Amino acid sequence: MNSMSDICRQDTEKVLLVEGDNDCHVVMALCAAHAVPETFGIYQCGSDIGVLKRLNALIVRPNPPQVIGVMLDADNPSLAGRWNSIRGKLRHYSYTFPTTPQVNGTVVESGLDEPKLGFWLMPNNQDSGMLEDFCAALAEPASLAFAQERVEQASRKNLTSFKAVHRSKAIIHTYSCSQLG
Amino acid sequence: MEIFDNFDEDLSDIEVFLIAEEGDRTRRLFRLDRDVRSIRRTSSRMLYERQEAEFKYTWQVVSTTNMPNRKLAALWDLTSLTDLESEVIAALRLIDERVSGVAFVEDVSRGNASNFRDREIDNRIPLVKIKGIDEPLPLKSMGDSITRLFHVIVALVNARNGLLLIDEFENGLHWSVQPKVWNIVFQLSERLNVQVFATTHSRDCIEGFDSTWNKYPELGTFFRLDAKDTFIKATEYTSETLTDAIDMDVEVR
Repeated sequence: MNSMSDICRQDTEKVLLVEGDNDCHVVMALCAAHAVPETFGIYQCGSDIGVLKRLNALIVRPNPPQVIGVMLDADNPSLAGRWNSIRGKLRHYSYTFPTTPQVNGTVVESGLDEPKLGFWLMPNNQDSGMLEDFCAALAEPASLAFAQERVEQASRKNLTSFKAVHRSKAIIHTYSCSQLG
Repeated sequence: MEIFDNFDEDLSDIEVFLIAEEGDRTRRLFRLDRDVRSIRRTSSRMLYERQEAEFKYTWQVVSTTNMPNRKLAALWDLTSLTDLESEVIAALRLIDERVSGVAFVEDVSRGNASNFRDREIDNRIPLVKIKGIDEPLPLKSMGDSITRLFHVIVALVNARNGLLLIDEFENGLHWSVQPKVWNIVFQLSERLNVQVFATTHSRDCIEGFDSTWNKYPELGTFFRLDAKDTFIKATEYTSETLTDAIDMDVEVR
């Protein structure tokens, strides 16, 4: 295992579970840009299902983490569907969840021997979407519009192979390319 | 209040209980198997009674090092020529499908027992008949896995309508056969109405248990025991949580 993947597999007292390496690196870049102190580790679980499974198992682990942060895309199929899948996965614990996620992220505590949990659903806890929509909100608007136009153009000419739900991924990667060099 | 400072030697098979008397009801609170002097200040009366009265269930124990040969031979005597014999043979076939029969014989290689009686009681060992081999072979020569399985299954079929305790389930069992052994334990214990308690520190064992439990979700349960200060804390897992922990390589022990 190389050091790049280790840094996205931190088993720490305070841990942020994310879906994949892209999520991990976006969070690390954000933390660096905003000088967020390194008080937690990041663990990429391979997929959204992996995040939910690891979260469920960590809560009852011997010596569980104190705090578990969870960052998931609000897709598969939607914000409401994602929120329900989280609540369903953790139904046998003592946490009480609000019926919809809170706009600044949702934090729950049970008061028992269970870790504190925090949830952020990409992009903004209010809309369905994904990491790439969150990144798009940070991008320089004119360049992003240009990237968007290029993707539409390619799509019209049948030069693309991405699935419809991955349109924002395609746009943000096109944008990233235009920012290189 | 009655105090027993000394027990008569003849009372060595007697157990002492703390009981509470409320009106004409008498409740047994707990067994006093420690120094009797230490409970002098209690205000309830002590009671003793025969050990057999306490435990009404049939039960068997398979320890980390299996059962003593004498015990195994005695249980086999209760099993052979009954319908349960074929269950045991079928279980052994999980590990070696050539097994066709089991018999206990005196171990002639151990001819130095002090007298005939000892030899007869302690010296019987299991042999297995293997298809294609004329002479029966000592079970021990077939490996640790089949020996452990034989102990577990013979104990199980002799715990009908009762309890079976297995300490360190996986001992002697190759990891690859553990799911099969769990499968037969789940099926047989259901059929014979045996409640099985097993302990383990082995991840392979838990993995084998988990995959089998998912096939019979109503028949199993899993607790992790942690020493916490002077107490032992039991944490129950749902089968979904145990599977998640196994899949994501999160510690459950």
